[in-house]
Amino acid sequence: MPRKIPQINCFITRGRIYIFVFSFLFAAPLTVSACSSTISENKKLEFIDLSQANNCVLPVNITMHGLPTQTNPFFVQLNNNDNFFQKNLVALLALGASILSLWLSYNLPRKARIRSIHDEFWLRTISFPLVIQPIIDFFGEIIASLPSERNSEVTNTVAFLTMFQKKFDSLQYKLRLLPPAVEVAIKSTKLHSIHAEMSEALNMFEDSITEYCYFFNQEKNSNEEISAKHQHVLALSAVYFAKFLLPIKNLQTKT
Amino acid sequence: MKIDLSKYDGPVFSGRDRGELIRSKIGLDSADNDPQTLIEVDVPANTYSVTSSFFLGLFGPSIVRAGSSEIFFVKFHFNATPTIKNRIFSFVSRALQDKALFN
Repeated sequence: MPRKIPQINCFITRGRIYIFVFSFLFAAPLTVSACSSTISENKKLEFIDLSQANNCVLPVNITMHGLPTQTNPFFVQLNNNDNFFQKNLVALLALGASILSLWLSYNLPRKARIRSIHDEFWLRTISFPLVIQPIIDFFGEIIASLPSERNSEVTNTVAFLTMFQKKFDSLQYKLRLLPPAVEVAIKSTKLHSIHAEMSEALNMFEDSITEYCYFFNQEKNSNEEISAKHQHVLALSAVYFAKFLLPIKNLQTKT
Repeated sequence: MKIDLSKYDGPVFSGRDRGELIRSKIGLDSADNDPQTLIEVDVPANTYSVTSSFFLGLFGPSIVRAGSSEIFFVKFHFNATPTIKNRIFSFVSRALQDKALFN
């Protein structure tokens, strides 16, 4: 039953918004129409010569100009300051602020909740540990175990490359799980390109490791040359690692 | 039609750009359009490795066009060592899964 509480709260909040919108849409035009008839009537009677207006019924809002004499009949001027928007500017602003605050109080927590589901669950609980973390570990493991010189224990990289290719193929399959998992949380047409970018970064990592392994196995290459090449491959691997993570970073900042 | 990889820089075949370049050089797109054309691919015995980016750059559009591994391997016949053949099967399967997921 506790699950229903947010729905009830949501309903109440929506109800408040509907009442506000209803009152603004229907009550406000009624007031405007009532006032506009008064204003238009007043405009017709802006200046009245009282000497000619024995039977005239005067409106309430009048200002007297000078005292009346026999030869100089005075005029009355209607106070024509009944503009609806001027009179009710503060009220309208307050109404606008109330609607805005209601909209914010309804919309911001909703957005925060969606973001939290996306970040906390789909990215941190599903995608990251199952797909991204193993690939990050793979980068780290390969960089750490990549032989940097020939010695009595390591004379060639055949076994290393076989192990690399086996894990690489398996992780490429795993990476394919990322877009469907993320797609549940966010409907993005760019998921294909996110996957393609991450997969391509992995492919480039594979290229550089494969080329290095071949270079290592060439007997003509000395240990110094192998060591220099090793440093170069490590630098490249760091670039491909950053390329691999960049689409996820962009995805999180855009959603 | 025959594709002999020994004509290209080996024995490491890597890089998507290289694969795409060879594809355009040999006119594989037009061969794909002709269902009667069968293609023989010779991977030299001394090949150290064929990476996925190179393979998919060279054959990716053909795999997607074929739509299934059966149709692809009927049109393309690979002469390669068992290790490289196994990797080729894996690349083809991956390309088809990408197609199924994203297209």
